[in-house]
Amino acid sequence: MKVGTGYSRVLPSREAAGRAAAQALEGSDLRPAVTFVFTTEGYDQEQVLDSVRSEVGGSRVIGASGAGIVTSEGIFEDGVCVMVIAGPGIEAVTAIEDFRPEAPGETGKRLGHKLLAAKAATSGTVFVFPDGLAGNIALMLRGLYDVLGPDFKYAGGGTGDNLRFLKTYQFTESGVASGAVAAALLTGVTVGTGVGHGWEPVGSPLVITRAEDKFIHEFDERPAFSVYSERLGGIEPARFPEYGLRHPLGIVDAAGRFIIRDPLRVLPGGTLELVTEVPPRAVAYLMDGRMERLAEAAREVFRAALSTAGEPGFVLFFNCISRILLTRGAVDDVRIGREATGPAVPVAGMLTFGEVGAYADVPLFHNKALVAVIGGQPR
Amino acid sequence: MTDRTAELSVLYEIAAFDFSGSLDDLFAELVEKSSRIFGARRAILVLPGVGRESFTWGFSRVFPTGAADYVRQNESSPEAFVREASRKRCSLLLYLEKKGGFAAAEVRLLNILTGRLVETIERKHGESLLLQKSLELEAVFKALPDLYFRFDAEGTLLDYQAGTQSSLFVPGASTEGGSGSLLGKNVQEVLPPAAGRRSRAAIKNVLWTKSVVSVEYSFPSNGRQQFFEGRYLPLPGDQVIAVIRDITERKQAEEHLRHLSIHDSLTGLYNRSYFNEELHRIAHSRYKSVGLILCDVDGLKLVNDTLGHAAGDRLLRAAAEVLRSSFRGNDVLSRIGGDEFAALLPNVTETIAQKACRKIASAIDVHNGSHSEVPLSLSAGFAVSSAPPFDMNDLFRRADNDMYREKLHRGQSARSAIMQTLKQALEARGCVAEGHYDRLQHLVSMLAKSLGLPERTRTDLRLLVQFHDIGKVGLSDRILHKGGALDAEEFAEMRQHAEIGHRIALSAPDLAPIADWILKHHEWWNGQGYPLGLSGEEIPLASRILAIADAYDTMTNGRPHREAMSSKEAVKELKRCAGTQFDPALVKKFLSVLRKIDVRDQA
Repeated sequence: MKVGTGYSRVLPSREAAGRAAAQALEGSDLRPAVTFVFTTEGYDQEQVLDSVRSEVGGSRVIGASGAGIVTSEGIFEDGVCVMVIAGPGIEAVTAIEDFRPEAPGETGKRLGHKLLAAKAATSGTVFVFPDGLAGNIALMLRGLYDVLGPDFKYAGGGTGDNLRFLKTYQFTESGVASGAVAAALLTGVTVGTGVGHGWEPVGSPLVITRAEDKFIHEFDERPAFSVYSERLGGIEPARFPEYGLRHPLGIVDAAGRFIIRDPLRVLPGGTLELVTEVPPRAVAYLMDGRMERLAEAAREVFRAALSTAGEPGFVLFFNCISRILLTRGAVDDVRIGREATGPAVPVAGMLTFGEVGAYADVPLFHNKALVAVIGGQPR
Repeated sequence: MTDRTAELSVLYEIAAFDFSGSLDDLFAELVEKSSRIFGARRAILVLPGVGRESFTWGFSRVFPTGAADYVRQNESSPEAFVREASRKRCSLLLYLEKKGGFAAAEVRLLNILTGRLVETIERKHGESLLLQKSLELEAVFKALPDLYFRFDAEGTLLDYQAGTQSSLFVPGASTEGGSGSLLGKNVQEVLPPAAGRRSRAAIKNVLWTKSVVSVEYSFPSNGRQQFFEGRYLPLPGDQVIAVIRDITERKQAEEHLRHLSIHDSLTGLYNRSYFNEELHRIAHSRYKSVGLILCDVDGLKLVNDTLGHAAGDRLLRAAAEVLRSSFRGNDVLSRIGGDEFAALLPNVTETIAQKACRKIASAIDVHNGSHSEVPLSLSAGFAVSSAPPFDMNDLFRRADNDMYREKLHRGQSARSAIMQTLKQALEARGCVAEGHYDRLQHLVSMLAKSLGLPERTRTDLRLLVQFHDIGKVGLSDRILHKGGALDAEEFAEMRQHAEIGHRIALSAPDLAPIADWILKHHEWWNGQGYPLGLSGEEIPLASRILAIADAYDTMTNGRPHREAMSSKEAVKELKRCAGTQFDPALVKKFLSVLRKIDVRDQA
């Protein structure tokens, strides 16, 4: 297996993409089976794709815009990052589907059918990049899973636009889209995945007594913001974004693991809008993030991924932007990853708006999490 | 986070499991919880007896065609959780699968989830059935014209629903403000007193007997008396449902049928059936006396045969009106036969009965004075019985005999009156040319005299002249007054006048002797006439005489569609038709009579 990465932070879109792709292809005479492209807001996505394709030829391309790019030299708020993967037996197919907010499950199913129509695989790794501003991504993932099943691994993240929340992009070699979900099915590579966050519950539980989609109207039969504010000793609505960043909600499962939900803003009437849907009538906890726990969580993610990856050949990072905003300077997930896999292993990725990763077999949609995909050769 | 805390949190979420949409929504919720909370990677839910019986998730293209069979085959797998649960109306089979299997604590929680699931489905099923029944009921109420009310034990209106009507048939009910104007009021406040009392009584009765009670009531509404049938049914909680149907039309139909069953449809008087019942009733009554007057319309058959049944019916209705005006309100006046009427008069004397008969006669005179087309003639007879119990058969027999005597006395003059009326009617219709009968009389008399016919025959011939075309009263004006030649259909109708005239003559004793001549006055000497196709001397002499004289007078005096000929031309025509249409010997004789008339006239 041959893997190459490259990135560029120059402003001209074609030049940045071309440089990144050329760098990734340097020293490799194999035609890539798949090319990952991650960009940030500010680039002309069509030009980026066009430029990359002109470098990688007939390779399948899967990519997305995000809040930042992840490279072996760190995380950057702007730039184009490319990873190419080639090798005997390594194949990839891609698909893109418009995200229908009124039928997210159906969207996932159609995406799954498209992938299997392109390649009748019975196992592999599915990389999923839904528009982070679209509808119920968790439900979309369950639809995708219903078609593909537990014999595939799942990873990816919601696409972003540097927290402007205006428009994000998803692309395959067939073109650039917005309000869609792009996916690639990679076979012929041994892959290990890990997902984690490190946030811990504080205080007693909050019962979500009234919620709908991304909106929590009430905790404990009372206006949601009032209860949230009380738990934190009283906060002004104007300061909610900063508190919300530090104190997300966590919903526990039977194994004691939490899935995080990021509060985004307060609405009139005390309703909290979150980044992602919350299950109604669930029990939530206010979460707190100690840096050492966040760092340990990152290490656990890489341990989990390495346990099934074999000899690591590449690392793909899907790291939540809100996690990075908090941990910057205190926790370096890229360094933790390189420590786990070795400094020579190619690294690429993006800062996502929600992450796709599975604790067990089924892909869930996380917030404030780190998803690592380590591809390698069997030992 | 301790295991216990996590378990409690999950327990709450499971206990609060609910769904508000379809079974697809329920399964989606189940998949969300089982995959997120428990890490389940596959799920099957089987719901026997439900429209879509099974739901699956996570099976990829390996789709189990028989979901229940798959569950049975894999229920022993250590990675499977399988539970069956049932309630009154539904049951389910749940299959979940997790890599490595479910922990004991998870199994405990999943058991609780399964129970919650089946309870939720049961409740939703019940709600769905209830909603469906409610919608069906609403549709039924909308389709039916009935009204529905719900009352409490005191008769207070709790709810109502009108069917297709906007009015509730409640006098004074206001539709302003919708249902608020009626709800909370007592039924006796809402309905008129009598109807309200009946309704209130029905409510009490229903709650006492716990069974259906039906009542009818009526009150004026929308300018007429309206009838309602209410069916009152008990409800739990001491409430009553009343379904009210407007039966006004039904009542009217019943009344109409009742009326028809005892009344004669043509005249509006009581019919024979009712008359017989009254006979029976009066026979056993406490009246001191009873009188019976029987009346018979004279010449009805003649009128029906000549002027048609419509004219006959008019005569009968006229008779009924005359009789109505002649009797008291409590006298039972009936039409008991085709042309027979009867009046039962309780508590009368013979004097009163006689007076009634005279009153009938006066009323007839008044009627005939203003209705000249067909004179009304009634023969009436009466009998009175003063000794209860009354022998009604004897009474009827005596009245009938008295009526028959009267009829015999009146018979001939009545028919003659009708005959003259018919002749006048024919002339009034312009069917007879002016002076035709006089000229014809003259010609026929001259010819009969020249033939040496006896006086009696000559008298009958004179009668024949007057009535030979009496049968034309039965023909339509279209035929009688047609400007040109008649077509085949019209001629066939015209030919009937010979037979009609024959029947008319037979019914009048004065004309009976000449009935046969009237029948055959259009026969031809050569057999090509009508109606019988007789020839030669088979045709009565009188008919042959009339035919020649009638033809000559018609030719020389013209018809509406043909100009008159000269005598010379008419003679020529008679000669031409002698031996075919006319008796040749009679033609010769007639011509010699004509020459004599001419000579005399010139002289």
